[in-house]
Amino acid sequence: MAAGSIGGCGTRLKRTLSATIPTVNGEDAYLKVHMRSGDVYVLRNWKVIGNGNAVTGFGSHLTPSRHKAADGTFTLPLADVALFETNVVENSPAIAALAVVTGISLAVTVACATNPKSCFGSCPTFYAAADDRSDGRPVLQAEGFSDSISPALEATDIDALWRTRGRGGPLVVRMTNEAYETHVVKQADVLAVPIESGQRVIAEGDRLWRTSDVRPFSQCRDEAGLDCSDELARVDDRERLSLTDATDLAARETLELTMAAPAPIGDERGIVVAARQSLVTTFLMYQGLAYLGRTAGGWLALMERGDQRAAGNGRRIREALGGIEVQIPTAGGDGWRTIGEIYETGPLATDVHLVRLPSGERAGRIRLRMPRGGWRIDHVGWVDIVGPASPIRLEPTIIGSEISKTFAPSRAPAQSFPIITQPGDAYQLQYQVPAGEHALLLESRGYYLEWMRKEWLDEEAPLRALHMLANPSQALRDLAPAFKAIEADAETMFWRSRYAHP
Amino acid sequence: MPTRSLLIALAFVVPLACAHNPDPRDRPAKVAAVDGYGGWITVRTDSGVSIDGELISVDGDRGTIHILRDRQLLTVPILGITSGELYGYRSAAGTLSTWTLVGTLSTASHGLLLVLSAPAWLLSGSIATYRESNASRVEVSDGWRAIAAWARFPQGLPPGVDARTLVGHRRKNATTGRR
Repeated sequence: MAAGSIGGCGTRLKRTLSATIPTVNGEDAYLKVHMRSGDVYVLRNWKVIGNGNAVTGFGSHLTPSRHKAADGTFTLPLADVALFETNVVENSPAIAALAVVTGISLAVTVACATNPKSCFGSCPTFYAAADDRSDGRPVLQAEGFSDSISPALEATDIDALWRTRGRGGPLVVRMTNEAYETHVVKQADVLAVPIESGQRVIAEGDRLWRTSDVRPFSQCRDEAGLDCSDELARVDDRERLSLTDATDLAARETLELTMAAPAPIGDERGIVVAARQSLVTTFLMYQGLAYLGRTAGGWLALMERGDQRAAGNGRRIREALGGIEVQIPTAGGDGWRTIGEIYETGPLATDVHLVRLPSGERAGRIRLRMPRGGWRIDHVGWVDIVGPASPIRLEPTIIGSEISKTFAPSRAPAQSFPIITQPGDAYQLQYQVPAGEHALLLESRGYYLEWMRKEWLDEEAPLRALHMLANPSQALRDLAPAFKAIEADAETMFWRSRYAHP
Repeated sequence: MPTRSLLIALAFVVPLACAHNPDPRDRPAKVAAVDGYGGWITVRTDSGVSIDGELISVDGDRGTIHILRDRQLLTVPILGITSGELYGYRSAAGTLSTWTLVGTLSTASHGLLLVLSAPAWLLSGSIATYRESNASRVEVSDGWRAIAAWARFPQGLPPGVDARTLVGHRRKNATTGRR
């Protein structure tokens, strides 16, 4: 568009002087013939004639004052010529380069306009320095209460600060709002659990367990028989993510993991899964809000008034989509039975979960069953359970703030909880960790309000929203092609749309 | 990137990227290819004088250049020139700076992608504008041969040509540099 509109003036002039007749294409270039007298002839469609003694062409004759003396066909003896000048008008490469930028920018505009759900993230995010990074740069380690999209859904969320161990002294956690949302954070405490060297503390729901260090399985195969053991060996950002089913977002896949030689029976053993969601749930939530359109506020108000149907509808979609089931072989060995399910909403930060095995189970062979393309699995391993963990609760001793200058920049920064943040806000929370080695977890409580976007209103379709809520399984089939269409680009666009990466 | 920061960046970065073309004739490339006039030169001399006008010729043999200014043909000794530049035609820098402005503002539709796309627009637009504004510009330090290519008489001042010959018509702004 822009390139076209300025095509007429986005040109450069390539000028060349020569004492001999130039070899440029006579069709494309202007030839200026500078005569010894000071006159100049500007010719097009010119050619050399008379055994190279003259040049002829159609054009204009200009006097030394550059007054036009005549137009027509001229034949000029080379003996009277002082210089030949060619002028080639060409398109500017700078314009071509900017046209490319424009094309990319327009593509992003179109992509965000047609699918704005891909351009925005969600949830308060928490960063802390990782022990495995020598540069001390904070890494994303937790996202808080991702399900809590209204005050009625306020919830407490415990996330492991898996890559950071407390060894006494200050711990800084950076809390950010990186999406078009208002976050109401009522609490962000660090839970510190004294441990012996090599031990871990892992959450099973809201219970914390001290465990041995996590040991990887020796073999991992997906349904196609492909090896996934390297990707799942440790928490290291190398994740396994498959693609969704094109016809049903709830279609399941399985991973089978085995030990090389089953370890001796311990008192109690557990399976550890470090994972986060793909963008399927983000897509579904934003699609639901888009369908609700102007009625979204009313729907959220129903939840606020305690309407169980409104609150239950969200849960039904979650149940239809499903979490990560941990399965062990049945007693006869001819099937699998589910012993626990892991579900943590949020596509941003990897969280680590524990599923305890029934007493006496060795975990020599286990299976994970989950929605295809629904989860990014970073690590799967097994642990011996040492016992329940009793954490020391640490509240921030210092709260520092960076208020975004974009939205209501005159706001006074919060000095204590609740902390209400707008897009771009960041808070530095400093804790004092007691002496000795501690496993650290973050317990956050609050809710957030998703900002309605103008583009979403274009998709307002309350009947579709009703259908989505009334028949979640069918909705997951109906919406599968729509997500499939954006799946390849959704990841890139989503992560580029944020200030930070995990 | 906050909107205000974006506007401040736009206000400073894009104009800074442009080299100002003082030629009052405002000739686009297509006109400069055929009209036969010289480019617009500005030179500064060792006596502190700045002279600008249409470049008529560079006469290396005599060690002078000729500049037409206010209907007067000025002869300036090359040795006395300390610096200067010539603009052969109107570049598309103005268009590009507007393009960059519109493009950068359009990133508001990119959601939080703006934090990447807006700086990308500013950077690429500023570079493109800078390069374009210099495309039609030749520095004296580039050599008089390069300058001479943009003179009205690149072969040197023809015998018998004087100021009256050069302004033999009253074409608007053609030689006087005044609108």
